[in-house]
Amino acid sequence: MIELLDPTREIGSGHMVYALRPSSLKGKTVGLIENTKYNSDRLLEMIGQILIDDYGVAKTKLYHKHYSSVPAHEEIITDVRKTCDFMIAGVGDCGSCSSGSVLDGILLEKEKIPSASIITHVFVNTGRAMAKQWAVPDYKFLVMQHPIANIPEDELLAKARAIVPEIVELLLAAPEAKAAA
Amino acid sequence: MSLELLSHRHRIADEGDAIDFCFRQNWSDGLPVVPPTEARVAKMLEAARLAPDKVIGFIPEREITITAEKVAINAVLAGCKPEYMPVVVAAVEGICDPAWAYHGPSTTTSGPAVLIIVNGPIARELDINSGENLFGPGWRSNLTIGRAVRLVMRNVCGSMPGILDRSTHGHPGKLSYVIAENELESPWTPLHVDRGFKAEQSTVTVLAADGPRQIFSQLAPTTEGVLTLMADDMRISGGVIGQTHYVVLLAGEHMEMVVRDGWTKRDVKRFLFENTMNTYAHLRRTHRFPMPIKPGDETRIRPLVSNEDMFFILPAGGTAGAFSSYIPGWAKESWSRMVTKEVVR
Repeated sequence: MIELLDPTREIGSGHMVYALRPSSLKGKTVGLIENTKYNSDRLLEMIGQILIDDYGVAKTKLYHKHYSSVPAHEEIITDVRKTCDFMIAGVGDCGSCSSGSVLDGILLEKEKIPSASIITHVFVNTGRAMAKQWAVPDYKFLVMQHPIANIPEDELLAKARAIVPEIVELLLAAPEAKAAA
Repeated sequence: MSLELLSHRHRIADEGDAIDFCFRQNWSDGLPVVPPTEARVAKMLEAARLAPDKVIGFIPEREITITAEKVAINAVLAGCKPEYMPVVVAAVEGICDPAWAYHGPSTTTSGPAVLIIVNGPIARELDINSGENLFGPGWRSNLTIGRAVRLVMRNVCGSMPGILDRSTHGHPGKLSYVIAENELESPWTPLHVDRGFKAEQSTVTVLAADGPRQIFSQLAPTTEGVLTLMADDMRISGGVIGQTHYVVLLAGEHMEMVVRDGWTKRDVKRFLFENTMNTYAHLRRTHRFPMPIKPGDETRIRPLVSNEDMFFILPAGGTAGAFSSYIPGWAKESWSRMVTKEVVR
């Protein structure tokens, strides 16, 4: 008989508590937290414009992170909390920035801001692992096809158009509420 | 101060199965580990005079607290001698420092490792190699100290390959990447003294870093010649896009020449800075920077690093051979900075 000590960190397993969702985007302000990776600002601006044109959003505010691999810094979190009704983060198209964008969503939901984090499909397991690290393994984030950095403007716009309905759905109905309905 | 070890315990009926049990638990980097029994872990903590619940580091972006107990268990797994534990602890403190900024360099697709440079008396006491076969193999301290840090990253911080460590290639330094500076034969102040410590203090310096790139200069008769070759090689190298740090390791024959020619560290830094410039046009043409080329880009100069002090010059490596090496840091210097911690004993 031998007894071994476990070298790993014990992580709790809770459920994500989402912010309360308004019933509509009309007249609202949407914060866009771009992660500084090439084209992520353009993509979020396109998404913001579609939300203004098609869903009645009043305005968007674009925030730039210090760099792609860190969570949004305190000034961004504070300003979004004070001045925005919704938040969209992305677009993670690398390992550290995908999980960073997922974290932005988790942090803003904790601040009671309905949020949507977007990453690209090759980093789904990394985004999920970040949610697990924060003991919210069921946290819902959105996924678009990789890559975004080296594609032309029209393809970028097509990706923006394709993901907007998912963003709207997530911003207006928290996943648990939907499951309960 | 609690002396109780609080980690979950696993009972294994067959002691001979312990190593395979550790593999099945997914605790290993791929090499066999030393089974972490309470007696072994306790010795590790005693050697560093640490209570098991002592907090060694906190990583805010993962809400991770790293205790001495977890560091000790992973140091046992890695095969460390107990006397290595203070060095492992200092390195873990280093990667938890906000300036090192754990999440980026540990998760990125670009795959840096944790370069660990040990300075001061402890490097000699623990026989940490600063000479031939600098990057191994052959030295237990070099190979197990870095391995212990990696196992902490894997088992405590969640940096599992393919999940929260998304290195596209990574490099062999991700198993262990520990060196010492050849302080005894150096004409210069050692790295830790340059970074504000006393020569008699022992320190660990951590840097998120690519693999080493070796240069060969047997024909150059002077220091300027050797550095001309090195600068030519460095100009377009790992860190060119972001302006990062570079560790420059001058080995025996080149170091002898540098001493003979009377070059200071400052001279070396300045020469490398001035001879590793690129034009914006070249960086755009080669798709390192976004196209198109703008007016003035053909003559507009971008240095390899933000300033000459981003070159860290160290004597290290074997005495024979006309080889030296340089190591580019990760990404951009402001994203993850070099951090030095004292080894507390």
